[in-house]
Amino acid sequence: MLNHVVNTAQKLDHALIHRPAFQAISAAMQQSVPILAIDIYCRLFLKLAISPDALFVNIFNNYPITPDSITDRLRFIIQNLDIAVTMIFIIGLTYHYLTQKGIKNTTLPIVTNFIAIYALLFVKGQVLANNASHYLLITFLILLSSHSYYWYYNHLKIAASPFSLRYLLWSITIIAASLLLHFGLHLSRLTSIISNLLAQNFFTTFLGLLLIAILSPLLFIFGFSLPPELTSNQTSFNAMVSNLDKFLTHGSSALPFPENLYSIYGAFSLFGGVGNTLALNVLLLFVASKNYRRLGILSWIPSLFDNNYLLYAGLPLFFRPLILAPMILVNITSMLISYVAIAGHIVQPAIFITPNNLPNILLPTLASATPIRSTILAILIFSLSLLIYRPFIQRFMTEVTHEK
Amino acid sequence: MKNRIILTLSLILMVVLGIYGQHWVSQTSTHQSKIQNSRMTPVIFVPGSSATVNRFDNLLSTINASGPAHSILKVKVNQNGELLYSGKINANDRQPFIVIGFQNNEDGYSNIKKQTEWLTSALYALQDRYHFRTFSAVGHSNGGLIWTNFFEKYFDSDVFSIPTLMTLGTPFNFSETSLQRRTEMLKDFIQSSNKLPSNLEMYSIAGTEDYTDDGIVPIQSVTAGKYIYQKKVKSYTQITVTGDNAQHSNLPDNPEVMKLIQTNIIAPLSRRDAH
Repeated sequence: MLNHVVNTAQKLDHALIHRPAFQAISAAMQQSVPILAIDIYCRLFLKLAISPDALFVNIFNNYPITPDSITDRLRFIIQNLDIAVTMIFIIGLTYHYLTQKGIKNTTLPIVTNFIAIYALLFVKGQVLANNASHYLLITFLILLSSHSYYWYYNHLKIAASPFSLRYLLWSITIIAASLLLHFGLHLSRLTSIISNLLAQNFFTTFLGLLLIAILSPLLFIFGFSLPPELTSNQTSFNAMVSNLDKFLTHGSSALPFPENLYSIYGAFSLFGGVGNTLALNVLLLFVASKNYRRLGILSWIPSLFDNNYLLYAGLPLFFRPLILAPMILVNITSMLISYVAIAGHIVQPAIFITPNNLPNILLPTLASATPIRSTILAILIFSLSLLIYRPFIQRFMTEVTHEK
Repeated sequence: MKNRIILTLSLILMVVLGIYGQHWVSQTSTHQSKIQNSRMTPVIFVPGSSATVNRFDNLLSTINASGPAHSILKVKVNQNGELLYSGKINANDRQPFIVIGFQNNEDGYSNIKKQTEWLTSALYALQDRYHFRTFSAVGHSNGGLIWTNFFEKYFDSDVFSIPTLMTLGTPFNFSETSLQRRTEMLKDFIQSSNKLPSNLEMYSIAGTEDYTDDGIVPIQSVTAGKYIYQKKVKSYTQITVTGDNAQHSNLPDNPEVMKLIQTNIIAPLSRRDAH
């Protein structure tokens, strides 16, 4: 059965990665890895040591408080690094896509796409909520714009300067369209609508939790920006707050929502980020390919602290059936096992709030009233995640070797 | 070999973080548990400018004389943020009175902003000490302005629950007699009024000696509170008391005001406590 899923995922993956557009996406993403690494490590440094709610500030007594001026300066740097990551991806994607199509001078489309995406996402403070997110939107728009340039180029058959009036007209049209889209696009509103939906009691039921277990890797791999409730923080949900209130006042007897997004999805499906990618990272440390081992080492520390965007861009994970399939399997397995364990009263659900930015792998141990049993459950789920990812990563590496 | 070292170091890091994290979780949960299980619901009084923590002495002793006695704690916040406690809260008293006053008790909008910061730090210190979450607030004169500024700038519904606020002769438009001339403070309060808690019941008590003012604060300045609170909180009630004891400084000692505090502040809190 698993072999069949691996074979099907590999076939789909194989068909996809040989498409010119996908090769351009892949090259552009890998090109952005160095700047993304700087960005992610700066972000990690802020989250762990510098910001007022940093992990070390919370858990170590007498940890020195960083002056606001330094924190603000670092935040400013990170914000600009976020922009740089996106922009390098845009430049790379436009360049690779158009050179594959035989266009030699790509300066104007690169500048146009750069300005168009900047106007769309970064003007008026509509900064990307999570680093390296919205890949789907950006990729779709860049490919559309680049393809329109290619069509225009072939249609006009002009050998003149790429900065002639006709090409400039194309450029103005693309930038104007992106500005128009900017006014109609409210990404933060969309994210808050999803957040409100997730607060519904439906997501404390078996079906609701199963739906999230399947949807979150799908959205992640297809480049949607996930709301913080699906990547790191489920403590604001009513179900979690009601459980904590009940526990603090009446002890562990009859919690109102023992199975919820915090106790099932947050505690057992986010080791290293969406889809327990810490397991994927462990496997990368031992693969034959030197480049991927190096990526595994580079992304290891961020992965420990639940940031898997270096894997996302480095492998890359975007639109890859060979990664999506095990990710969904891992999420469903984690969800089923933890649901049965909690519903069967084998373990107490995660109810306590843990310090901000603490690795999710520690959540089951620290947030549950039965820490030892929850730790054993977490180890079991993590081991199963390793076993599920293993055959897919082996095939993934044969794809890489094949490419070489 | 290199990978094994990475994995071993990571495991050690996780164990260290786990130990410190566990300490944080148990400390936080104990604190939350104490607050959650606390049945104490105090009434917190803030005096106006130039007044000390003794401002409500007459009012509190009269209330205590006419019903069950409430213990009284006075907290003076010094300019350097230091808290000086006098009086005490009896261990079995579920509804104590707490008066928070300030060493720098001068008038003026800039000082009200500073006093709000001191009030906030005093409230957090009191919560740490007595583990209460729910309380009702009373502010005399500028004390009402400090509470208003607190609700708009510092109030966190995850930390405190405040069902009722009562202001006594609070000059929401300072000494302006016309509502057409809005002070900077009133404009700021109106602008931030969306941040007021929607479940708050607000009573604004005005005093009149001669149909125009209470001797110090114009009635129009007190009623300007409607522009801040009306339609922003659960209910906004404007009450005017008249007669001999309706002078601004005497308002806390006015028998009508005392009845209003008993009916609208103390009794509802007692009912909450009983539930």
